[in-house]
Amino acid sequence: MSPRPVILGVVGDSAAGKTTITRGLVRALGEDHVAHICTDDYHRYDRQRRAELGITPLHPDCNYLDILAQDLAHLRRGEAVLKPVYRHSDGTFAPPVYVRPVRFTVIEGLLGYYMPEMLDIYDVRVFLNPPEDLRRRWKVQRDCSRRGYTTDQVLAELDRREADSEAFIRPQRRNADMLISFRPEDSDKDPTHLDAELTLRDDLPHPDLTPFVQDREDGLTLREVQGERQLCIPGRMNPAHAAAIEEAIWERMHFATHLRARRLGEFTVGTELYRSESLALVQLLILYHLVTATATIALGGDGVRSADRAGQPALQTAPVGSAEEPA
Amino acid sequence: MPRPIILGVVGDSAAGKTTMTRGLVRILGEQQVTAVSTDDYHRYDREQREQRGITPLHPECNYVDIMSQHLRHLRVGEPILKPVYIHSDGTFGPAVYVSPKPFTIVEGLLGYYTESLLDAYDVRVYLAPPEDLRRRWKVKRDTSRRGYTTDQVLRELDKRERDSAQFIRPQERFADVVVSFREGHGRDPDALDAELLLRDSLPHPDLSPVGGSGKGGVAVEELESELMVRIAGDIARDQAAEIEEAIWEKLHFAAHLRSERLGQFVVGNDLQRSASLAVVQLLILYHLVTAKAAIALGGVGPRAEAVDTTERQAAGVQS
Repeated sequence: MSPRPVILGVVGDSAAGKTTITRGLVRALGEDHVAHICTDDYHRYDRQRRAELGITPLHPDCNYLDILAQDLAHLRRGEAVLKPVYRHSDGTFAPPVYVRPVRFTVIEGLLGYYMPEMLDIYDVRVFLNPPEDLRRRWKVQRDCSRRGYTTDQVLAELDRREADSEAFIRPQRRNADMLISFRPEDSDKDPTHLDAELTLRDDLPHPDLTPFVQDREDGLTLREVQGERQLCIPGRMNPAHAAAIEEAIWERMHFATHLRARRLGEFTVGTELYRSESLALVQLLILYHLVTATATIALGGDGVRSADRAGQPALQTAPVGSAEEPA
Repeated sequence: MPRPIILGVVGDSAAGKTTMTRGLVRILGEQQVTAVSTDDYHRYDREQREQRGITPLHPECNYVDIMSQHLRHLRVGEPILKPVYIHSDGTFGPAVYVSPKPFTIVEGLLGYYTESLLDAYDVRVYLAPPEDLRRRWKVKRDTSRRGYTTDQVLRELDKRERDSAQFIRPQERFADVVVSFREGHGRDPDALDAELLLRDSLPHPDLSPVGGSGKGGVAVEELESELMVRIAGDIARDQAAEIEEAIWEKLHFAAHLRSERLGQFVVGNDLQRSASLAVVQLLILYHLVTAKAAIALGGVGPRAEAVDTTERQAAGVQS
């Protein structure tokens, strides 16, 4: 039997950049090795019905979260599922499709961390948290160009969704191992040089980047804030510096050198292909966790999350005082 | 809610699964029953099957793994998102959400194909009409409701024969109850006899007091670990009533289910009644209701108890 798949969650609000992050990782890992599941497929109502009911897709009641949890549990055990299909192009459902478990599963969507029983399924939990004004711009750009809406429609929709975003989507932040915010530098709207701000939580053993922290504007900065590490990757990072950091992370993944050929950090605006150094580094950090989890599981462990590690056999020690006990 | 009771109704295409199932749903009440057809778990639509030269009877043509996954969810009282196969045009529709109800009836071609499927049922029924009768039923149904011509249906039957023999019919041996409706010897050709094979994998009600010699339309024959019950299609009204009464007596805790609807079936738009069908349905009902009562009382179901008994007997333990 092949080892169980490693499961990555990429959760965030609509147009937070989930697909951009995911697509690069899928390319790096190889499409044949990744089952890519979008939780939008688990919507309960189609677009027309949502309009009639006045419910947004962000509301838990608008999604079959129970079925999603079921399917995730099956995938984690290495079982196939019959996944529903939601079509963004016209907002209707298509017949379900059969999804075989492969080495990696990426779950991307709005409510992936909503139910407590879902949380344990993920090996790595990422939450995307861009500033609201940037996300609004991204959403207008995408929904107008690829989902057939007008700008006014998108803006009205954003307003209508705000209450549910606040109530259901953003609170999921607290469940992430990596909280990622891409944000523009103050004066600059250039999409290729967004800064990446990461909150790294201790549930996962993150690679130590302290040797690369330098007191300069185009280098990494790392701060401890209330027990969490905050890493900032500047959009205009010195390329040589970036290369050195990437090299160091790759070195810790020496067992996965075959993945190096793929280019990370690519994204598209419209039909133009761009590359971002900060995006590449963020993707590499996620990749590090995925590859490490695979290696750990291949060696017989349960995973890299602290809860999984806790389940692994610890050294046996004699009970305190047992030697002194009278015979 | 205690876990749902799961009934399997398996048999070849047009063996009478839907007639049997529909009757039971009417008696138990639609609100009480989740009816699932395993045809919904086809892997290929009609066009793809044509291109690949595969019949829907072949396990490869079905998501048997998903079927058993979903059945296990239903059995523990969880909902499923069930695929949908549309018989009228041979394509698939969007999946539908199915909540568990007190009873689940799973009808289909390959319901007993894997061990994991077998474990899911409380009661396993297999329908085994004689082939010539089944062929006639299939032509009638597929030309009237599924948009085929007679020639197409006959050709399809020939094409399917190999898979029927290899995959469908062998499932008969896993059934607790094997039902064969066959043409009667009486005056009314529409009054089908019912032949029931009752296996000791389930504790069946004792029918010997009403059967015995075979006079008046019921014959009970004891075989090695099976009981063969023949009910004539033209059984006298009072004798059918006597058998039904004997079974109802054991179902005293489910008296609210007593109804006139037992044995009803439809030909075209015509509602008809068959005395032999009524007895067969009542017998299945007996098992469903008994299983439900056993679970409500904290048991695991009649099957496990039957197995226990057999094992105990095999081990020479006296009860």
